[in-house]
Amino acid sequence: MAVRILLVEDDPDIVRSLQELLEREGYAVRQTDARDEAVRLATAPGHQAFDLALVDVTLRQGNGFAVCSAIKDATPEVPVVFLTASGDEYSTVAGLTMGADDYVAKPFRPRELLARIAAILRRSRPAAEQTLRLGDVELDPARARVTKAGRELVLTPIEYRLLLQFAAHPGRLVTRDAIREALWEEAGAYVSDNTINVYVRRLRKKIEDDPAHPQLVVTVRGLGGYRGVADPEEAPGGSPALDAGAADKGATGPDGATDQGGR
Amino acid sequence: MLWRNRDLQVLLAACLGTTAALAVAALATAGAATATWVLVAGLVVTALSAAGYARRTRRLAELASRMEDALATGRRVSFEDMHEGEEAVLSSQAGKTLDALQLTNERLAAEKASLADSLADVSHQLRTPITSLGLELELARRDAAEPAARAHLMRAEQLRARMAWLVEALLKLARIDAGVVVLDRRDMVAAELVDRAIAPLGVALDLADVRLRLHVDPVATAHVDPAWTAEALENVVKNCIEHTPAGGTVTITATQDLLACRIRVEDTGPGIAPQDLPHMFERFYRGAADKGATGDKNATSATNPAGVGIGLSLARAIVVAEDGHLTATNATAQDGTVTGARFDFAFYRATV
Repeated sequence: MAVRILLVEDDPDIVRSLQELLEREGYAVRQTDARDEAVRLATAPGHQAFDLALVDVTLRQGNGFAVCSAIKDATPEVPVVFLTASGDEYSTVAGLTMGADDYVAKPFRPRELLARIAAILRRSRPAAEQTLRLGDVELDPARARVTKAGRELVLTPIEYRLLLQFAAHPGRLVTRDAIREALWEEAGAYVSDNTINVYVRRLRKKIEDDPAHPQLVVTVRGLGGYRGVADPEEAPGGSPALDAGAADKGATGPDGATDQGGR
Repeated sequence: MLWRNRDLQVLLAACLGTTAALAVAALATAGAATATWVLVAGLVVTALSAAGYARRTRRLAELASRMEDALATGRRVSFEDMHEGEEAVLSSQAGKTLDALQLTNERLAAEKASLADSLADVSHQLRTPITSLGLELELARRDAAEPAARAHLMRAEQLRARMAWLVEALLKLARIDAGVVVLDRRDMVAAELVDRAIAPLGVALDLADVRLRLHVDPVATAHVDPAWTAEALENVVKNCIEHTPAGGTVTITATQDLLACRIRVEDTGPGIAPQDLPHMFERFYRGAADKGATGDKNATSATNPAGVGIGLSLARAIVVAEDGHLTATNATAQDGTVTGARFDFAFYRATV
């Protein structure tokens, strides 16, 4: 069943594009611009109505804090993410103090918002489900910790980001374009295909048993990218059907960007 | 205290001297009885003059004291009960001057509040379309089939990010200038400030192939606002990364002495040109020879796309608002060659 998000936002421009973006990511979105309706929707008795609430604190009518309070009172396990105005430290502190799980300052990079939402949803899953795995390499996004056969690996920030991308959607194609876009956003620099190859090679040196014959992160020829393999023995070369189905223009989904909670 | 007054001393000396001289003259020409009357008359006149002088002095002191009160407390003070000749005129003028000053202060306070509101409005007005633009670009990028189109949209997103950064930085500077920023200063461990500043820079450092070295005294603490100070630090570190060629190092050292908590950020780049040194923290200053690490005068920095002019400016404004200092110099080797740029933060400890 699709993850349900309650979007409390009153700016029509943002509502339209944000709702579309979230729906494209596979979320089911219910939007309202009024505080009272938001509270009503979120606290409807019976089953839990939403998996996450995205609340703008700068609503014209009433404030987002009241919505957060109401949601937390009724369903404390539902995470609340605030959209705040950048530089508004007061709201940030107040929001976190009253139990909001995270905040994202406007203007935000859309992918960063998606990554934070994904990170929070992942955090609210039981611990066992949170760890990502490729073969005997395990990645714990909550602690940004990587181990191979139980032994801790030290990765550079870029190697970690790449591994996160491959491990978050094993079997799915991750194009060099997608990698370039993710890195471009974070560091503002254009990264060439060559540079990407170099970074992937470095990652392989650390995580593969035999870097010359990679089994955890395999190159997908012809489609310009790579694929993470969760269980190498079962799918040694990957199946063509999986490659073709996953060639979705390079968008790697919500886990494609950084997991860190940010400013 | 009154007796110390020079004018009074001169007055008394003159009166007494004249009395004595006249008494002696009277004694010589008109006899002891006249001389005694002259002496008595002289002394009486002297006493009355001194008393009158003392009274005037006291009233002037009273006027001065009331003016001081008015300036100190900002309250309107009345001078209506001082009505003695020139004193009345002086009192009246003093009263009018202070009233005018009061009005000016009240007007300035109102303007400042109104400016703060305007800035908040402007922020909101700008942030909303910038946010929407980002969302639309993201959607467009997902729909674009051609790699060329996607590349254009990526660049458009970079430009949007640069605009967003500029807007935020300018607004922060304006708020600091207007004095409407409320700093939440607390005792912060330097290590935490540094961690916070460098957290977002991992990928940038990796891409630029620049190493980060930390030497932080765990005891060092500063009484600062964590969010603003981390931002100031981050801006400086970003500047250093941008000017350090691949393979170089940026070193952050945090120490504490009796006077201050000091944080030094040093890079292994080409350093700062001497003619640029005094202008480093001016807004929009790019420097005559600012070529970044790549030597290209028109290079847009990888890590600081908005350009160096604003980041350092904002960093200094923040530090100054926290009663600190931020200076830029060149680090040099024993033989005098420049090994890189060096930025020194000093956060002064409470005055004893």
